[in-house]
Amino acid sequence: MKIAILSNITIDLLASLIKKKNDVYISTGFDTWQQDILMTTSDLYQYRPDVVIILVHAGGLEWKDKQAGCRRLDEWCDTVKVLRERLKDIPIFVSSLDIKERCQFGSEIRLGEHFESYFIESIQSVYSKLGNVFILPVKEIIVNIGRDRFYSDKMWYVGAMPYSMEGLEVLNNLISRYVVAVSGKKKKCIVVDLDNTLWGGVIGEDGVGGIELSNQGIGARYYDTQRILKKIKEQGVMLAIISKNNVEDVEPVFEHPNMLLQPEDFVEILINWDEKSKNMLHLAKILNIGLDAFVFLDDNPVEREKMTMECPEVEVMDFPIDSSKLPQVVENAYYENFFSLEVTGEDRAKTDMYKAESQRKAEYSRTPSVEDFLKKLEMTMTVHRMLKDEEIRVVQLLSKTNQFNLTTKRYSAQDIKELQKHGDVITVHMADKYGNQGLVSVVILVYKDLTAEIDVFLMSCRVMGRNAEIEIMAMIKEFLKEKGIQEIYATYYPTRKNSPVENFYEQIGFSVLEKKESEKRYKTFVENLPDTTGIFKEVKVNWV
Amino acid sequence: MKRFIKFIAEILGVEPNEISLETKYGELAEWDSLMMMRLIMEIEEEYNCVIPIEDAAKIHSINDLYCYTTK
Repeated sequence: MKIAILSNITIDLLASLIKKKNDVYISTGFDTWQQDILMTTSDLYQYRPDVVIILVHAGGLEWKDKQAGCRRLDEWCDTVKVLRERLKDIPIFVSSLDIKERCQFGSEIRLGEHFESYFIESIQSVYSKLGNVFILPVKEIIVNIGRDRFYSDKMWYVGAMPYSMEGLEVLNNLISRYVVAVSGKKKKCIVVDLDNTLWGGVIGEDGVGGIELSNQGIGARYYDTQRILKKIKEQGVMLAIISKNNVEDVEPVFEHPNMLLQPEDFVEILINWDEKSKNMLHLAKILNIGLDAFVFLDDNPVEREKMTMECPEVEVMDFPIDSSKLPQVVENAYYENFFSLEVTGEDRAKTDMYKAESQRKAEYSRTPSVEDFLKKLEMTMTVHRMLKDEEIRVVQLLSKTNQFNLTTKRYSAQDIKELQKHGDVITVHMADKYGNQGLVSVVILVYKDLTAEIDVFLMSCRVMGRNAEIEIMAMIKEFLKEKGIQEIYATYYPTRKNSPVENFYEQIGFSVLEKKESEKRYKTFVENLPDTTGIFKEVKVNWV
Repeated sequence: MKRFIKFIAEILGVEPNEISLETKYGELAEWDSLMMMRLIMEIEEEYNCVIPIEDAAKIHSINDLYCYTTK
């Protein structure tokens, strides 16, 4: 980008910061910005900028007299008009003023604020007549960080440069944000997860009544996040959902009184158990936009890393550790990726437009492999018979695991003791480079005449999508072989929540013996159970 | 002292071995009046010290700047 910065102060230092990313023009001589604009032969017009920034500083000038002050501002504004007319298609940014009045007495009229708004109104009237002139909200960033930090008196007196180092930095950021808006390198769609992103908690476990979402108090951080997302959507950015969930669990959430975002706000809602990258590719295809037009918001670091690996073009947002920062993070993402100077009716209608488009198209294209990703997680697994001190956790998992739970049997500690008389209760622990997931899976095997029955197989949803279930079955295979057992039976009892594992046994090589609405019976030879996946860094087995 | 040289070199955009405490103002193309302003600001911020405006004209070498960080 070729940026011309015109000013009534020394801006060499600011220019040196902006030069890191752009080509910069500054006027020769001090406070010659008006001459530069008014002279048709000036270097400014030779330079042919892509964007012009007029940074006017109020310090060092008299702002005591209302008429004289307004006259000066009118003159500035007229100069801007000349520039507007000479450089027709080029956006012009004019800084808002910050007028600092010293030693004011109580009843003195606050003229400074009058001038500040007078100038903004004058510039906006140029915009409404001629277009393409915008306010660069310098005053706003000064209010945000404070004058004491924004300015440096010393630099002002030494070099006619009023800003501190920090002031220069925020000014530089502000300018680059506006330059991005002009350059058109904007994203088009923000893809959000649901649990712990649009609300607190897990809808599949907590239900509509149990999630955190309210218009005040602690749940308001999610409400505010939704409010910002809605505002972003109104500015023409598309919203979409990619979430690993059951559709039936999610649907009632839209009835929640504080669920601001409604299905019609989303251009596409993809709720399933597929890899998110696969859904992202699907989304890119049906919306017919590149992967580089997406921003992805997800609370789960594993999902974020997977997305970065599988779809590197997608902008994956950092998720705050402290979720009270979530609204701010989303707002920052807006400025970084979607900020636009003008909102057109077409922008606002974009969601509806793309929605129609996506309904016409269908089907996935390519499925990215996840093996490499999983290996990079450096997962480890420990498998053994339940230890005495694991009993409480096992009962807890039995009572609350819904999704990956083939039989959904809710046993008590007493029941487990009974089962151990003619069976084995096996526990699985997992860890990866991000941390320890602890006891994540329980398998209960019951033996009868040299055959085994999988009475319980459940796994925490925290480790779903990592092929852990295959690895566990491979370990069970070795265990049963050692015991000399050759045949294994299993049952799937459908519940409202366990559809993700509906076809699990078919997938790992079981044959269906009997299929009823209320259950599916399976059988296979131990020999046919899957072998180790090879994606775990280490698997420790101890059957003693 | 080493850290200070490294810090200054980074701002100037030169290698640390190109400068020393003896380097004089005017010897380096990178060190002009603009850079002097920036150095003063950066040093004040990094070392939490004050370089009074009265002294600005008396700074002739990197050592003159370094003195403020050890006061």
